[in-house]
Amino acid sequence: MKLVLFIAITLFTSYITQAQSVRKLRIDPANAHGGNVSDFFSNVEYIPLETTKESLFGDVGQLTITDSSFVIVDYDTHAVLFFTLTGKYLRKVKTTENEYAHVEYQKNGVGVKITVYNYQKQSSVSKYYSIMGKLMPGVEKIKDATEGGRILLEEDYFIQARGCYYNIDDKPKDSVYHLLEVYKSDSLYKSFLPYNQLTNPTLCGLFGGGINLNNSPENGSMYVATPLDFFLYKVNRDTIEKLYQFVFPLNRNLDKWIAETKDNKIIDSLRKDNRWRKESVISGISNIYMKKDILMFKIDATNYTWSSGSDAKYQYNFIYNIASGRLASLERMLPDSTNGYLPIMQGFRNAISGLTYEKGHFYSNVSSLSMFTVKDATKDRNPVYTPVLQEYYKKESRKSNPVIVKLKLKGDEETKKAF
Amino acid sequence: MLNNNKALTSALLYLVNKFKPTKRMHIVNVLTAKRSRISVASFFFIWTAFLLLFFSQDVKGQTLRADSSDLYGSIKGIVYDSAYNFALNSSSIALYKTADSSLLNYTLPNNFGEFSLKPLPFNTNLQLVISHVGYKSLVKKITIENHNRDIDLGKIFLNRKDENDSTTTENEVIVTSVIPMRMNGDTLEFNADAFRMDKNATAEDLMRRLPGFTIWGDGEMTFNGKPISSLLVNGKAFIGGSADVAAQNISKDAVQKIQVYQQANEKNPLDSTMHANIKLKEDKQTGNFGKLSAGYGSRKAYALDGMMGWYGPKLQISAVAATNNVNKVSRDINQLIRQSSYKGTGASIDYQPDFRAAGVNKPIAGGVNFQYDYIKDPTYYKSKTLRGSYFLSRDNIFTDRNTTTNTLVGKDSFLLLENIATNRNIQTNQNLEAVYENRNDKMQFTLRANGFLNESDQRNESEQLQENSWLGVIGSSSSLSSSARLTKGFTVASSYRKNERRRKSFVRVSDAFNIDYNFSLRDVNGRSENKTDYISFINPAENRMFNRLFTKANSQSISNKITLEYPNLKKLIFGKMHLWDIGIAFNTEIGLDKNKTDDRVADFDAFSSKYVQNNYLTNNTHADIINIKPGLKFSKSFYKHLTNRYFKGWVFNLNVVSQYYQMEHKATQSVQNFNYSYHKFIPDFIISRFNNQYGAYDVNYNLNYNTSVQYPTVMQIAPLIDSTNIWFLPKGNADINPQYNRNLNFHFSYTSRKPKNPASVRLNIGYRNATDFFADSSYFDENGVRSSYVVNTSGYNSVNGSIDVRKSLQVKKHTYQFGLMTNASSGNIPQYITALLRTSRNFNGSGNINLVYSFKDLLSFRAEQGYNYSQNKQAATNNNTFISRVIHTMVSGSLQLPKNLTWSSNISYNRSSINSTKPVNFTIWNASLTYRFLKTNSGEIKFSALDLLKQNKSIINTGNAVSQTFGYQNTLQNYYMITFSYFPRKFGR
Repeated sequence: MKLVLFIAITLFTSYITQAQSVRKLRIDPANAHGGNVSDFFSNVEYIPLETTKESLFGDVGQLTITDSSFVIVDYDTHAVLFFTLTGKYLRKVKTTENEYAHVEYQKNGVGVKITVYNYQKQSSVSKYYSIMGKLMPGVEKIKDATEGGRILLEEDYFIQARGCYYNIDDKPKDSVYHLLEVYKSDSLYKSFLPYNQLTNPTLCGLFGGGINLNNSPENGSMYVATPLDFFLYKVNRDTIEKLYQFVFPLNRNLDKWIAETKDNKIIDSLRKDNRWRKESVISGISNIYMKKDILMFKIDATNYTWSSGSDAKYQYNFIYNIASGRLASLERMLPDSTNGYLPIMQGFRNAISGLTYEKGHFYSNVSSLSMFTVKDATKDRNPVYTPVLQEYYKKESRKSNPVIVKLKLKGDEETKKAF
Repeated sequence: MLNNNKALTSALLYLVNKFKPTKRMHIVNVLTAKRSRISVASFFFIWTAFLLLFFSQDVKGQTLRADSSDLYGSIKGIVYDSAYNFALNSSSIALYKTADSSLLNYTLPNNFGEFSLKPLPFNTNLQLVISHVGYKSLVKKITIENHNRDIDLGKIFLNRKDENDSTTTENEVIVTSVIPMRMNGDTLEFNADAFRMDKNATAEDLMRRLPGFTIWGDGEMTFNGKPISSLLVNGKAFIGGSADVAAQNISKDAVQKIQVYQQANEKNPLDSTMHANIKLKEDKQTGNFGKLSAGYGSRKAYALDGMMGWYGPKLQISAVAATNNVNKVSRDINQLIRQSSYKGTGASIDYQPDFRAAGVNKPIAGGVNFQYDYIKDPTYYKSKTLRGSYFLSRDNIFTDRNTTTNTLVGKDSFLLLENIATNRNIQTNQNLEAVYENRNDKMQFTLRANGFLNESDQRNESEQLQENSWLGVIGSSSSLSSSARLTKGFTVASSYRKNERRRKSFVRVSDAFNIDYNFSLRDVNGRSENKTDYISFINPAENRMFNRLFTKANSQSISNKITLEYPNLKKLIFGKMHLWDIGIAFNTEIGLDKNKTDDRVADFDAFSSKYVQNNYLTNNTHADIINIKPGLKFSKSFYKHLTNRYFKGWVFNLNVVSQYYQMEHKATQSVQNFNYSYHKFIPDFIISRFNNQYGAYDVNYNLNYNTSVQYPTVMQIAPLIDSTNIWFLPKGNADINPQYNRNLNFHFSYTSRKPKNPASVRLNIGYRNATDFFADSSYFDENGVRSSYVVNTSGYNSVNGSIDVRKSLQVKKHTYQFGLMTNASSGNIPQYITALLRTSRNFNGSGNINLVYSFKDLLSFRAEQGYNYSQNKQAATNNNTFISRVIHTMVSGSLQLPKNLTWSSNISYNRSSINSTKPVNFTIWNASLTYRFLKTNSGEIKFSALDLLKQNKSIINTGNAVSQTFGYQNTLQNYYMITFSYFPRKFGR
């Protein structure tokens, strides 16, 4: 009898634990707090990037911060540029018109890996450079061009995002794909997040079938979120732990009948039509940073709006207080006298790529056009500029290179006070 | 103010009474006509007096400002969301006068949510309304007092509107006014109802009031300095084909909002095109407007005009009709629609009597136009429309000409031919057209069908006298001719473009192609009669008398043309190879033409008193032409793009085309049987450079080289000589080769892209030459009869250049536009006279400066000065230079006087001279006074005076180094007219 009771209780509790879902984080972008930049960030530093004939570039497509340099990919001039952490130009790596570069910082001291993908030849070549931009021996030719970048989790262990994506007119296969893979050096170590392509046509066909791995590992672990169901996971080389689930308002989700369908024919016709691509639909979550009760993340959309403002649909980058359940958005934050009333982000660009986190700071960028336009518009507030900015305004013009913004989030307790 | 108007009107009436119409003068006396009584100087004095009168009045404008001495106060604040502590920078702030709820001032906050309104009146009860979508509006009662001029409301918090809460404002104050403007995503919207205007105001009057809009003197509209590329109504193009028809006819009451949006480039916020849309109120989706007018005046002058336009959600119809006997000619429906606008002021008036036209015309015209949109809300990428139109015009022109032609035939001998002729031409033209267009992301298809019918009836009577510099009068002729002709035509033009389907992987055989097919048929049935008497004073044996009848002068031509293009040829041949990304396309044009003529000619035989067939001129011809142009097009472009800064690059296009041309000509007259075929290489290329510096300027350079061939026709190879044409005998040249033309052109343009005060410069330089140029070779016999045939020569070339500069400036409510246009061309034209090569050198230059000024919608003024110089001389000698100079000055203006009165006037001065002869000059001054009446301003009475100075002359002045022609013809003379017009209008049900 006691044994039966024991077994019954174990089964019962295990059933409950299995069925027990994680805590839901209810995020409503319409109800995001604003406030002053100085309420959330203890320090805002502007680092102008040196503008010379050789270093002039268009826009920050991808920003990577190494121990002593900024590595910037620019799609306008087809180049990867290296600047020191104070903005002085070092050198650049040029690619051709038909190529598109991707940078990975090999934190185990190897340097920076630049993978250049040629979409005409559909092949990639990876080369290694020092963090100051000098070419190092060792060239890799990668055959499968759809491979995403690998991110170093801890020494010798890399994490890579894979996808279950299949093309228009292709049929989904009845096989399991893992959205995350951990590699030890070059061999597969562990796989996480299995999804069967056939039973998940919406996620695999319509939503790109993968995780946006635009996050920074810290102390061997990283946070990721799955599209469509929006579970937040903490992953390290050995384990993956489901922490929370993001829940968005009904009008920000995909229509229920599309999200739940298992019929590939419906997915195929939607893909050709593009009717489902509304600006309001949230397709994924990226740039996730978490420390104690503070969670920072960015929502991904299938269609980004190019204007900015305080309306719900223009909010992309958020800070969430897990303890209180309150949400604040970077787009609603207003600059104040502590940062000279200057913007901290570039609307459209940071809606798509979010902020980059590296060693305790968040980085974004602002074009010189904005820097000079805002300076003119805020003259009568008598802003106080740092010596670096004063020099920048004297020497440069609105056609100069963009400016890097380095932000330090206030400590956990202080941030929670802000909202 | 009213007193001043009375003075004005009586001054005008006094002037008018001084010049009662006199009897019509015969052409011959024109040269000796008395000078008109007012000199040009005194005219300008009167004009300046009018201007002073206007500026001295206290113009009660329609601004929102009250008396200027009362404005010193201000209100400012910051708008915030009450719950979440962020700035509501898309809210709308409006200030109303509590007494009558009229809108005083309005604004949008900046990015920090801050707003400020000033200047504001003292001691007036005001209501501040702050609203935002999704929030309850806040209403605050404010009065600005002397001791508290600048009110700072600090942070103003708006509360969210709860779904279950039906209240719309914080404190239950009912706000009857509408928010004036708001940002709706990327679109700026202005709510028409927030602006109180005269009940007869039009959409254009509303747009003048909106901040950021400028309506320039020449009718162009800009928003924040950017030209508005298109003005749509409910998302669709409107009746009349131009923005002003919609803006000037649609009543402001029918407008719900005016939307302005940019088609932006997200990477470059400084670069975008501007569009405006008039969104109509829900209950005003249909409407009609029109104009009916009748005028009668001196010399039995009359003018009747009618226009009606009707629009609905999918269908638009317009109809026009016009008849007059004062040379007011219209050639298309849209022109008549534009001139019938409800509010038609402005410095340029295009539907005017044509005082330069030869002869006097009594035209009748009318037509119907419709447009049907299958898709209720079309977009640029998806639309389907059907358009149809019918237009009829009938001209009845009487011309009376008197000319003298002077021709140099030898070293010191010349011929003088005097010609006096009258001509009556009655022509009726009917045109029916239908166009169907369907466009979506897969393809574009257009089908255009057009049919026309033209009937013309001409009667001509003339007398000629030929003099020789040694012998005096050597011959004379007189002739009487008439002709009737019926021309029928039908054309079909169709074009189909298939877009490439998006595929996931590389597909070698692209399914994209373009095909155009054009068909046209033209059938002419004619007959004519000519009675000519020729008397030779030196050789009576040459006297002749003709009475020739063309019982048939028919022709028929059928033309077929197919153009086929396959744009992705490179992929097909070279597969995945990139070849430096040079695009290769295949293009071919195939034309097949058939031309027939059928002439039946008979001459009156005095002996048998019957018409006997003229076997030489009675002729059937049949020509078959094959024209095939296959070619390959190579293209390559480079570009550089820097976000927020510039977009520049190069485009190269090379067309390698060859032409196969074959003509087979058969005729009853065997001399006209011939055939030929040629194979020519006709390449062309274009190199262009573009440099768009965002927010600063846009520069383009273009170099274009092209070639073409002119093939000889039967008129050059073997013309038949019609002996009733006494003075001219065309001869054929069976050995003539085609003329090969080469053209090189350079173009430069600069457009400023700053937010205000646009400027632009355009420069063009061209060079042309020809191999085997068709030159005229003429011989003159002892009777002065000229024989001419065409020969191939080298030595033809010409250079031309032009510069066009424009600048616009806006200072508060004044707009200024300045334009400069100059043009020069120089050429060498070879010609043979009596077997000697005489190349004439031509030089032509012209320049034109104009200035357009406007002040709100009350005054517009345009001044223009032009100069035309033409020189022609023979290269061999330095004598015999023909120089012609024409100067013209034109000033026109339109002034809106209070109480619905508009005065407009234009005066043009013209002076022309040839060589050192006495210059001929004349001044034409037209003026009109218009008065609107009825409650809805739908009635109009207009008094106009045309050619007040009675100086109109129509001068013929042409020539080259060898021969000059000078003379006069009859033309429209001065008249006065009173016109009554009625504008029926209804918007909504």
